[in-house]
Amino acid sequence: MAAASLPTELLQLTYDLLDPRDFYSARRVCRWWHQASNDVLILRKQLDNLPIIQPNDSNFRRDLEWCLTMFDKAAYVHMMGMRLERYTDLDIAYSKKINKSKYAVSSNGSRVAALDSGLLTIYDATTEKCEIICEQATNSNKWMSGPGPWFKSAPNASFELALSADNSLVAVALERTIQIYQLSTSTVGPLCKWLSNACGDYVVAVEFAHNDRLLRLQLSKGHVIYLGRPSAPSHPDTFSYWQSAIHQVYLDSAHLQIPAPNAEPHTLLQPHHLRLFPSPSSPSSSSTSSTAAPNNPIPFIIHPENSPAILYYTGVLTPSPSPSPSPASPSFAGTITTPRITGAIPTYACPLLPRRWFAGLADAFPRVYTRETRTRRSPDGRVLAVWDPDFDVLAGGPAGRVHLCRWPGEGEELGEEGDGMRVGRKAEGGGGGGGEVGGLVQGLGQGQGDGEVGKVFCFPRLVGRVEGKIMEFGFVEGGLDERRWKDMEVYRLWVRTDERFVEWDVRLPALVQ
Amino acid sequence: MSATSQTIILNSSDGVDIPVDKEVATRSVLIRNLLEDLGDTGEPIPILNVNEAVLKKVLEWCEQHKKDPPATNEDDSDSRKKTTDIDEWDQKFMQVDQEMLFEIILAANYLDIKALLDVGCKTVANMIKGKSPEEIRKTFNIQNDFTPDEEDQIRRENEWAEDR
Repeated sequence: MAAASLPTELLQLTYDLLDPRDFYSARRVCRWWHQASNDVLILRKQLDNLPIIQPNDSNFRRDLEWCLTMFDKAAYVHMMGMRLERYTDLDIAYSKKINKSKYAVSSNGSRVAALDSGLLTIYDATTEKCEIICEQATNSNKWMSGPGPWFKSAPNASFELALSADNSLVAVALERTIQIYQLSTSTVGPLCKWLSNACGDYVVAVEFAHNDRLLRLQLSKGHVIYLGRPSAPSHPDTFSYWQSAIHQVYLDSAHLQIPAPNAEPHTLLQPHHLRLFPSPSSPSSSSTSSTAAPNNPIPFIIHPENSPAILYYTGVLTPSPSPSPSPASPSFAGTITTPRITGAIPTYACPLLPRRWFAGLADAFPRVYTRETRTRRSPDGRVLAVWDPDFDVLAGGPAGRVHLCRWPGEGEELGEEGDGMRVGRKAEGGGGGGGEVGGLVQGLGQGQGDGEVGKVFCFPRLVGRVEGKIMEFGFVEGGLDERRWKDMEVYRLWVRTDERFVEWDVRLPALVQ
Repeated sequence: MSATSQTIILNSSDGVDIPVDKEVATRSVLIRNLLEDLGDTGEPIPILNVNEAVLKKVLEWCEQHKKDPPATNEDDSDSRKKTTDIDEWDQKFMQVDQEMLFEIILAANYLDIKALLDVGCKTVANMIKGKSPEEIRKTFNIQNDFTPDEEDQIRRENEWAEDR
């Protein structure tokens, strides 16, 4: 007697004990097991444990074909075939090596920048002891190493630092003043910018983005300002680009009005924690060009205050028409027109989710209530990674968790054709109902109309937990040999905290081309 | 029918007579119905589909659980869903080679011993949990007999997204 020849009814009894992910795997073992799983009662039980809007209408035929389609859709959205391997796990502990508690690390991990007593120090992180490469006095009222605006005081613990991807620049933010230092020389004074239009606010996080063509500034009250001018003509180096670009506000989320679809009455969302993403990479487009191209829908996410979800949008970005004539004058901010909701990730704050959904998809949701939450999109645009800050009770220090979830593809958007978070072109009962976000998460598991039958809600998957305070994380472009993993989407996801450097290989069933 | 210490004889498929307490044997709904239908004639009861080794193993389980309350028909109760929730004695009992495990499951099904069938299925489910299809194949020594066309077909979940 072998497992492959267990009678169908006994296999089905076993399937009844499996959660959706294990059932998904069992279906793919062999022909006999697969045939035994193609049973409408078994599939209906599995679907009942998944976040799918089921029909209330007793006349709706949940036949085998419908059940198979819905289970397969849910398998894709919830990445049921995901395999994880913790590829690298290094103890880096920069803070011990440089004896500083606050610092920035370049995205490739080769440079560390620290600021102490007004002195900016750059370390070579490729050496065992993190040897010092250069030091520069910061441009403050005390030192005045270049043109203003100067920091009112020597930067204290409230400063924020970022290193450019090419390791040539360091951005320092203190309150509402931004300065950019060139690392190769200390003879040229820093570039300086004062955020005149952020009254009563201050910068809590700074980072270079989009191939160093943008500088993202997260403000304390939730708004985000992007500095830079990606469409500017090419410059000989990044520093010369930023000489004019620092005075250009590419986008100021305080000027945006994002509608909350399907909210009654129609309301606007404050686009807090906004983050722009390059359009998915393709052989002919770089992330820079995709960001800068006019009339090109650009993906972005927001996480409004008190929202139980991170919301995905796309919209047409209209950048500022020209650089400001002088650094002192207010900059015109770009805007996003025709924003359209494409999806949502429920978070820990998401209320009233049916318990049965957690039985099948039991991963913890991101809490994303702090400003340290970060998100990154995979190079192919299919996956979003979320860094969720945490606290390690045992070690008594910061830590964090990484979650992955699907980014909705074309034709899968929320609100398209008024179909809510419909996923997949084969969804039955589509149309009508109106896309919803205001009620998207709040409405999960509550009574829905026929127009929403077949909606699959995206839940995040927990990848793992890393000790330490987050420095940076993201995806390695082309980091894995896809030939090794036939028919799989393969990603390498990395996290760098001040304690550890961790990489995971993530493998997902690939799309059929 | 009241439980007594009366002994009956079961005849395995390989022709071996196995004496057993009636109270133990009637954990099997099949045997209980046979005794009720045929009466206690004293003749060995043929168990056509279960050999001596498996039957003795099943009766060992029945002996351990002879005082358990009768099974109910609540197939979908929450307790059944907790696949890891297997009694410690039952876990040790199920630490057998896979051939014996599946023979026990088949025997439990044939003899209509629902609680034992549940334990067997839970054991198999626990062996599946958290594994990829390939790992499951290795665990159960199953050949991947999907043809390339069938492999494509079972990856239906991607077909609906092919217009992306």
